Amino acid sequence: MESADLSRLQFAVTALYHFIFVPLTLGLVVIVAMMETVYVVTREEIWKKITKFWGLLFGINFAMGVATGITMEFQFGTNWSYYAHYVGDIFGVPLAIEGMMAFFFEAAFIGLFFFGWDRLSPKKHLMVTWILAFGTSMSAFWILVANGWMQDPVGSFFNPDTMRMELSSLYKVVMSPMAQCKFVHTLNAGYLTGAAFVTAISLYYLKRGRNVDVARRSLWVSSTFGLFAALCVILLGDESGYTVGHSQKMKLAAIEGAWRAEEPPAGLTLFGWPNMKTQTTDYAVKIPYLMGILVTRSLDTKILGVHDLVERGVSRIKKGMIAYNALQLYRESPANEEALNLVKTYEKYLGYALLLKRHVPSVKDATAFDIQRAAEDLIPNVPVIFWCFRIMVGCGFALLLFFALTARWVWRDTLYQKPLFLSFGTWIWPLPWLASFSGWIVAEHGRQPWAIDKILPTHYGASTLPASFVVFTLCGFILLYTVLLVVDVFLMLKYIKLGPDYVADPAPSQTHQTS
Amino acid sequence: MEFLTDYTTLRFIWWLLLGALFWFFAASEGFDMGVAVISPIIGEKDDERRLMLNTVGPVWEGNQIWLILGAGAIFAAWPLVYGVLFSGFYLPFFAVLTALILRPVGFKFRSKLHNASWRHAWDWCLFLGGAVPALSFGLVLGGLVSGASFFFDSSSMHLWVSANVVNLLQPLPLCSALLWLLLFVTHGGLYLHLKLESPLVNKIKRLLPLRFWVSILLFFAFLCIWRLTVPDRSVVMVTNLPSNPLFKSVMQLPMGKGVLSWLPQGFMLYGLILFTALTAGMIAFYPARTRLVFVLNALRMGVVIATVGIGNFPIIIASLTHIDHSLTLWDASSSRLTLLIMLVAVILLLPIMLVCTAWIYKVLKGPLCAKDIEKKSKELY
Repeated sequence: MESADLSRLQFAVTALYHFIFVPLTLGLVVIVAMMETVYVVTREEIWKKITKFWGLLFGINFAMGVATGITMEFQFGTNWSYYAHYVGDIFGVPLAIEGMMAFFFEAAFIGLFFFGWDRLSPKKHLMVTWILAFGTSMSAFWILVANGWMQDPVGSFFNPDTMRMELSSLYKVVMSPMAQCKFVHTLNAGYLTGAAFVTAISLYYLKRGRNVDVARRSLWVSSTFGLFAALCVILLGDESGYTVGHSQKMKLAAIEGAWRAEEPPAGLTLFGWPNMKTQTTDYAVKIPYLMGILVTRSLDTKILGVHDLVERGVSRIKKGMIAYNALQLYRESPANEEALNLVKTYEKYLGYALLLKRHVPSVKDATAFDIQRAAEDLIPNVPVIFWCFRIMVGCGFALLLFFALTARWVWRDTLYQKPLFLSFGTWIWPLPWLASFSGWIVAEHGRQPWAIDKILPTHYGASTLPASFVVFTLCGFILLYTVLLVVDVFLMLKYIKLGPDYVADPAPSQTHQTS
Repeated sequence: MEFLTDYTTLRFIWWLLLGALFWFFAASEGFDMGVAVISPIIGEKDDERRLMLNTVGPVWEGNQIWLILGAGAIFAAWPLVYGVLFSGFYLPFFAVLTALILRPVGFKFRSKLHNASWRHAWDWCLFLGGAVPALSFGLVLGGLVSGASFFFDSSSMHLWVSANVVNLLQPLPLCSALLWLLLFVTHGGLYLHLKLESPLVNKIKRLLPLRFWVSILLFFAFLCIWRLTVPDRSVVMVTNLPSNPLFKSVMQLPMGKGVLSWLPQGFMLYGLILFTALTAGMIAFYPARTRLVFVLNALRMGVVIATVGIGNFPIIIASLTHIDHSLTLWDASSSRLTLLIMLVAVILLLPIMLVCTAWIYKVLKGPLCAKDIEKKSKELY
């Protein structure tokens, strides 16, 4: 493997590890804040105990989230230095603002959350907790603005003097529909994860008949919140589909397993078996018209298939070559106005010319065969995206059903009469993670071969590192993260088993002396 | 007022902010990393170590923001520097990352089990989490002066770096690394002195004064090595052109003017005088007015960073292989609009950050003693 492929693998691995912890942090902190609000309003000690118990689990998870998060920020520089140069002018801005406006509030106030119980009045402590929750959500906002820009690079232009993309409007970058949808969809996925976590553990306590007072109250909060989040995540997921349909047609085609355009309005493929070799989707089960209506919100707009998009890619690469060649002329003699105008006219397609870099050393000499090959690079791994999408949606609806049932029985207080549901419900916990991971793969693997959609191919953004270095760090990260993950899960399980009573009991445990 | 939003001015302001962020990082995270380094060394028993770690327990995470923000600000305001620095020093940054990854989990997990070897292992993880970033911070600051091997492909501006560690294992970065480890450890020691109510303070009192003296020697050595190993570079360029490091030429003046020739270099002389004066103040006032000494130590860090910045001016990081491709503050920045937007963000948000931080430290003020740990054994780190 080349060092660029290794860097990509490293990014994927570290991002997925990071994403084990992020959704739970996002959701759990809001649930904890809501529980503490109940405590401050009612002043019932039991709610303080509940807050502290879930807060402790939140803390263990948060530490891992922070630990794995730093890697993400640094990697853009270490492994993607051309990416950093090419889009840092735009991409760096949300990241830096995230530091000041979001991560700051998380990092600065988390200490007070854990150590400020005796030093702050209950109201002030509650304020600290909400600031923490606000910081966490804002963090997701700015990160997803950055990610949204990778999917749909608005508010920017190519500067031939500096050879990079530069910002033209921060407003457009922040308010881009892609970024907004992604933010709300991902945030609610996080809420759903937090709710499922609290619900599953509470059901475990109910099943065992222990800590019933804590579990019942936790369920009031988590099941209601989970139901709300499940509804939002599905509605906003639909909205994401609509924005993807606008800008990332290839991703949409892969999600659908649509190889060729259909007469509008297109049918929705529920299931099927996309075949990369024959480039067809076998055994497809279709619902007529639904796809066209969902994605285009109209009856007569055509949805392009993979083949149509490859053909479109060929013509775009050719236009990109015009821009690229003119750019070379301009760089040799900056007085060449004609070349500059040509660059400006075809600027939109410049990224397509960079796709050729993988196949030919010099873009100028690309043959029709090279162009065809580069255009075929535009096809992502269709079966993976097709299936991941269906897993995500399936998990989403399963969770909606689960939370609807739980909320109903919690509010009627009949949950304890349903032992089967209690034992089954505990095992619902992996579903939100499965959904998050699948969704992540659809969004990010579906973006390939682009790092920045239509602007910068992934392989071209990598640093010029020796492959051996990247192999070394990749193995290092996998080893370190896996060890930490094992420790993390071990501690989580230990404290879940010890339970809220142990956490609330101020007396130091007996084992202290023996160690 | 127009000159305030001029490209040249904005670049200069962001150059100052870069230094300021380095300084905020050193002055805040410096003490918690210092504490993490000191604790397994002078703390023999578990409760002693635990006591020391908990003096920084509630604040270390907030201090780390300056590191995260520093990296983010370099990315946004100095994308070229970000690329060269991070990929050029690939393996050292991996070491830093590993160390930084161990910190949050180390603090959080350490006291969650009552097992001696478990805690012992995390103590040394935290030690690495403090020592490696401290040394690396010094390496990088020294590396900015001594330079890295990189050049740009003129047609695509693709960056070619030799991600070789050898560039950093030179006398200048190594000396700087030792200096910064010492500064961080001193900072941590002073913080512990202020925060602890425990016999451990006596140990710290014995250890610190020697460190003050050594730091003067190290800083002097740093300047001498700088003089001896790094050529003077003079840059001729326009300050408000688009950021492209290939538009200028850099002249290297012949080397080997001897150690004493640092005298005419104003910045080095002033740097040395200021550093020595501050250290003398520390020696004089320790331990009578430790709070003041702590502030003086933070100021010393600022002096070192300023000396490096000014001494290198206008270069931010020099290229050893293609001296003309060196990155300067006039050709390695973001676009004018980005610098402006980021500046507005800083002006709006930095005061909020500082006020919040001040409030948090006020809430958490007061000494910590062994009883406090016993009382809240399960909650504390």
